[in-house]
Amino acid sequence: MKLFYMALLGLTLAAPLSVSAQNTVVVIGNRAIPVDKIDASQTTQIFLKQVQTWSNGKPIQPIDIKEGSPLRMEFYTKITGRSPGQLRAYWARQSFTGMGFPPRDVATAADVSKVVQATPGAIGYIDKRSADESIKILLDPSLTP
Amino acid sequence: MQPRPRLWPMGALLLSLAALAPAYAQEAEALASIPSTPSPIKLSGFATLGLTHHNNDDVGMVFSFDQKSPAKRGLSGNLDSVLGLQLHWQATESTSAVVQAVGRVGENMAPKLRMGYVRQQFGQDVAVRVGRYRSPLYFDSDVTEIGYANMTVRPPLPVYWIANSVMTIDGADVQWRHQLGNAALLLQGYAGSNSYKIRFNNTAPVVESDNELTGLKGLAASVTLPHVTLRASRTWVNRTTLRSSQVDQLNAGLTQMAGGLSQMAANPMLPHALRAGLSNQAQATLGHINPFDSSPIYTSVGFNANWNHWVMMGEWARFNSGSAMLGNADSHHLTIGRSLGDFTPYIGIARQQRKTSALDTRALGPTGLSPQLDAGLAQMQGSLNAAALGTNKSSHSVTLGMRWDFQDNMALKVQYDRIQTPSPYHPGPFANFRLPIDHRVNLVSMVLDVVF
Repeated sequence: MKLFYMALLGLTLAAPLSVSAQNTVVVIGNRAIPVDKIDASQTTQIFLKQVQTWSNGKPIQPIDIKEGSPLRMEFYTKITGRSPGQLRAYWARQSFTGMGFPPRDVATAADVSKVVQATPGAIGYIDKRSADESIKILLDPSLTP
Repeated sequence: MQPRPRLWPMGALLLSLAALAPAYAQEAEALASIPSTPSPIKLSGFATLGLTHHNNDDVGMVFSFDQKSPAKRGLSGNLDSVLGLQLHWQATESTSAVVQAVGRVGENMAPKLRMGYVRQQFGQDVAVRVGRYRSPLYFDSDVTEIGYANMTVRPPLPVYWIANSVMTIDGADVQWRHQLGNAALLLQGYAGSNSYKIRFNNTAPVVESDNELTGLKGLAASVTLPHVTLRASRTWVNRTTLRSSQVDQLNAGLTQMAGGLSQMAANPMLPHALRAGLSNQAQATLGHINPFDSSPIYTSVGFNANWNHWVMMGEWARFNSGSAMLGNADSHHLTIGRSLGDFTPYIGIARQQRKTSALDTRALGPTGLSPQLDAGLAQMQGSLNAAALGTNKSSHSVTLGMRWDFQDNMALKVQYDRIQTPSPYHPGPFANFRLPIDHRVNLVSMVLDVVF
C-alpha cells in the first residue's frame, strides 16, 4: 500500500508539469457577449453545457475543436482539469441519456475564431498568438496565478 | 457436466462493431470538411464486451430482474456485454428526436428500445420530452448499461440491482435549468409507466412473471458546482402488479383456503369466539392474494465529485415497497478513484439492508379442526414463506478495480467484486438456482467499453 501511495504522489506532481510547458491557449468570445472576463470554473461549466445562458438571457454557443487537436487537449486539461477520457465519459453520460449533447465542434482553431466572430453568444478557445481585435479574450490562463 | 458458457452473442457484437467502424470514420471525415454546417442527424453508439468469472454453483449474476441468461459459474459474457445504437435528429433549433436501441448478450441480443422521444425546448431553461426515456430512479440509473460513462464496470449491484429493472419510462418529463451564481440547477419532473419480466431462476423451467408499473411519477433535483454534483430524487409508483401462472395458482389456493375457513366459521355448532377467529383468519388469508403487488417509493440522495484528479461517488437510497412481502430496504455505496494519466484505480463499498421483517404468515396456521384444511393451509404457508425468503435482497460488496483509457473512445477495465448476503438463506442480488446457497461470490470482470 505504501508503494501505491508513493506512486500516486509522484504522478500528482508530474501531471501538471507536462501541461504548463505549452502555455498558449486562451478563451475567446464574440464581441457582443455581456462579459469581459470569466474564470476557469465558469468556462468549464459552459463547455460542459451546465450553464447555457449569458447574464442577459441570451444563449451561450460554445465552439469546440475536434478531438485529436493538441490545443483541445491543452484546453481541457488546463482549464477544466479533466482528462480526455473523463470528458468523453461525461459526454457519453449526457448524450446516451438524452440529457445533453457536446458543443458544436470545428476542425481548427482558425475555424473557431471565424465562428466565434460571426456568432452572437459564441465562446471558444484558440492559440494566444492568433488572437486579434475581432474577438474578446475572456480568459488567459498564463495571466492567472 | 458444466454447461459451456454461451459466448456466441459476443462474436455477433464484435462483428457489428467492426462493420460499423468504417461508416463512422467516413462520416467524421465528411463532417470535418464542412466545419460550419453541422449535420442535423447524428448516429452514435456504445458497446461493452465483458467477461466475468466466478466459482459459485448455486447462483448466477444478473444485471436486473429482466435478464434471461444469468452469468453462471466459470466464464460468461452475459452480465455486462451490450451494444447500443442511437440516432439523434435535430429537426429545428428547438425540436429534436432521439431513438436508441440496445441489445444485451444476457438477453440473447434481442433488441430493446431504451429511448424514443421527441424533445421540445421552450426558451432557454425549459425542455419537455415525450415518449420513452431512460429512468432517473437513482443517481446513475440512466447510465447503468453505458459502461464507458461509468468509472467502474457497473454501478454496484447491491444498490442498483432493483433500480436496474426499471430501465425506462414511457411517458413524459420536464427539465428546468437555472443558473444561480456558480451553481447550475436542474429540476426534472417525470411521469409514466413501465413493464418488465421477473424471472424466478429457482424453478425448472424458469417461471417468467409480468411486472407492470403504472402511475409512476417523480422529481429529481441536482446542483452542479465546479467540482461536485449533488442530486436527490424521489419516485412514486401508484401500483406495481406482478402476474404469472404461479401467482395465479397461489391465489386460487388462498381463495380455496379462505372459502374453507369461512365455511367453517359459518358452522353454528362452534362457539362464537372460535367462529369469529376463523372468520378473521379467512380475511387474513385473502389478504395474501397477489402478494407481490406493491406501491413502491424510490428515494435517492447522491453526489459525484471531481477534484484534482480524484473522483468520489456516493449515494444513499431507500426502497419502500408498500408491500409486506417485498418489505423496505436501505442501501448505500461509496466509490473513490484516482486518475493517473490514462489509468484510474478505484475502490468501493456497497450495502443493501432490508429494514422490515419477513412476511407474517401466521394467518395460515392450522385450525386444529380439519386435517384436510390444515394440510392445505400448511402448503400455502410453505409457499408464501419460500417466496418471502427470495425477496430479501440484503447484501454487501467490496470492489477493487482499474480503468485504463488506452485509446480515444475506448476503456479497458479489470474489476474484482466480493459480494455476499447475510446467510445462505438470503439470495440477495443473485439469480439463485436453489436455497440455501453458498452466499459469497468472488466475481472477476474484464470489460472493453467503447463509444462511437
